[in-house]
Amino acid sequence: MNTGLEKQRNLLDYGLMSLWRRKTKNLSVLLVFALVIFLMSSFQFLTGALTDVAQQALRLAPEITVQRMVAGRQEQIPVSYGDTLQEIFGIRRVEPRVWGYHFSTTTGGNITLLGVSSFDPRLETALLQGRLPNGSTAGEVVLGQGVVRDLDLQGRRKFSFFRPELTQKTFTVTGEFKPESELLTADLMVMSIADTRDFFHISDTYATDLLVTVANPAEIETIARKIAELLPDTRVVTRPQIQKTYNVVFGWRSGFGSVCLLTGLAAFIILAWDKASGMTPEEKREIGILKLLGWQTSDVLAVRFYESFAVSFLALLLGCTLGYVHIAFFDGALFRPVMFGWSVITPHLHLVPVVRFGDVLLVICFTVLPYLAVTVIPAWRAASVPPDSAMR
Amino acid sequence: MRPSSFFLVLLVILALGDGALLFLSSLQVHSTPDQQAEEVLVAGLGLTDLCLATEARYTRHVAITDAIAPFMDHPGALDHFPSGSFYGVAQ
Amino acid sequence: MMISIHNVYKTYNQGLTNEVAALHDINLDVQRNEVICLKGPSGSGKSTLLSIIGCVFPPTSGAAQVAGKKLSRLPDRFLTLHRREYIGFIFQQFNLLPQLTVLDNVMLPLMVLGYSLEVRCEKAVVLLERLGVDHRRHFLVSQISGGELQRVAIARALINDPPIILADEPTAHLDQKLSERFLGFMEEFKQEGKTIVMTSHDPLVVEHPCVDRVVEMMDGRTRSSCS
Repeated sequence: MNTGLEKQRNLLDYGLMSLWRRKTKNLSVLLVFALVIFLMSSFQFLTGALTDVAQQALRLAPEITVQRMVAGRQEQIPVSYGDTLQEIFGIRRVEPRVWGYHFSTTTGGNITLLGVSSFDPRLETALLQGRLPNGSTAGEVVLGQGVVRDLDLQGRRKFSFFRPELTQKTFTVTGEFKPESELLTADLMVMSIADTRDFFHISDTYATDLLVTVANPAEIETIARKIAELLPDTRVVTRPQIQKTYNVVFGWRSGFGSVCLLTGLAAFIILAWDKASGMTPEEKREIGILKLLGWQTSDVLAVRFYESFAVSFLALLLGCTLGYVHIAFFDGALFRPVMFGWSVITPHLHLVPVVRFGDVLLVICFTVLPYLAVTVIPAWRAASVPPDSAMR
Repeated sequence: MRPSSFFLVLLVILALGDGALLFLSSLQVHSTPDQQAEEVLVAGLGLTDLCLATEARYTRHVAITDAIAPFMDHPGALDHFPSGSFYGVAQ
Repeated sequence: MMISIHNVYKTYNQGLTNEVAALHDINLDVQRNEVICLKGPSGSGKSTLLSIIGCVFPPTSGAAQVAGKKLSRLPDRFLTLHRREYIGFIFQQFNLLPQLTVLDNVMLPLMVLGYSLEVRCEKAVVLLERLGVDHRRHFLVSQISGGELQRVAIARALINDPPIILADEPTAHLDQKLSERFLGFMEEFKQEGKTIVMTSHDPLVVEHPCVDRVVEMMDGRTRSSCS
């Protein structure tokens, strides 16, 4: 074998042996380091997984949503606004939507009631059991699994909610959405638009918002701008904006969590620096002897580098693996509160972590590189111990 | 065995373990999400957001919430996102 | 000429308040295959001279040439390269690493020369067998006796097969029997053509037949006399 390579392997051997001689100390450093990396990589993988899920699921989200703003708040939008929009060339369809929230005082859950003007027959495939509301019978609903758990109907098909002025409205369950779709449907109670209007007391001339379908997806931005010009009191939300929102929201939440972790990281780095810069007389003597025996300063440094590299690379592998397992098999249990917030109605969802090169690189930059820096730089001073120090 | 060989073997074992892990979870991908159902739901119901947290309009409908979300619907809720994320409802 | 030292001065901490002049106008020539003993009380500059011959540091001024290389203005890196090729050191305190085994200690100088583990082991075992400490090869250095320690130190000094062997007070920690055994080894090395420089004030060493010349040192100056 090439002597240069063989020499480096010898130095690696020497470094690993000296790590192993102080195994209790070095294993504990490895474990703490792996823990720090685990926390950071969990955040990165969880963010990646959520962003991916959002991009994937919302690929076919409404192209444009138009909401009316009054005094800085969202208010009901007149259905007649839809007719105004028809003037714009390129809009295929405008659909009024009525939806809102119902807070259940008994369970504390917040349910989303969604009115649909006409049910796409393909929606049947998304049902676990039962059928879609037929539109003519009042009070028929399809429930998401989160709502089913929250209401705890125990086989009953009928239940009642109070309207705002405390009269009761009775609903009949005709079907349930599949558990696989909980990420979208957990808190949904889907009914005909007439039922929603009846429950929320919204008149036929108003809707919650308008969904706009455009003929050519490339023209979304242009048409959104035209809508904003035509209806100045509205807010126009486009599909790319929705997807961007998800990136930003998860990005800032994981950033928020990561910043909290930075203090832990800093503590660890200070510990590593302290450990590396304090040189015992034995270490000093060892380096002096090695140099007398013909080791160069660079050889001593290489040993230190291999030691730090071995610790940090093992910690990186262990930490990232644990992070992946945490997301893939425990659904990011530790960080759910930070990423999702608390909820009474929570979807049971399974996340597939996404390992992106950039994320791993980020983790390396924040953990491995500082560790290498704070352990190898003080070693420079140690390695320049003059060889005659061992002779005195 | 030389320490460097041992280290190399350890790295290879860990890398293989990670590979197996990635493979296992890629198998799971095929069993869990129902992409077609998702598409049908999103297109058929006109959904704009994921159901991750349901407590307030700005958590349930992140993308189309009010510009100023002043107020959560839960009477015990404390306030806006960061604290709302870390504390539960006051009982 | 294996070693030639002319008008060499060495001053520690030059320019500082604790400046010490350790060597003063030293002249010394050593032929190939010669055995020299530097004799003198402690503080007379023996170890400093040995360090200059051993390429540990360059002299402050003067010309020093070891195995054909001028050391005077050589940077640290090249001193090290020269040292590991031409010099084998045997120290008074042995300077073995207590946390390593005998075998690992002996192999240390070969690690940075890029020898594989098998070659290193083979060379070390041959030397340990020759010096009679082969049976201790897997012992930690802290577990063996003083005489064995020195033989391990000799093995380590010889592992590169250097032409020059330097020994600093080699018999200071040995009883008479072990000292004679050590000098026996030195005689063997002399017959193999090595050049040896020792420092000692032990009459056993100074008067030993293998020593060709004794150089007396006093307050950083030399006074040559034939043995």
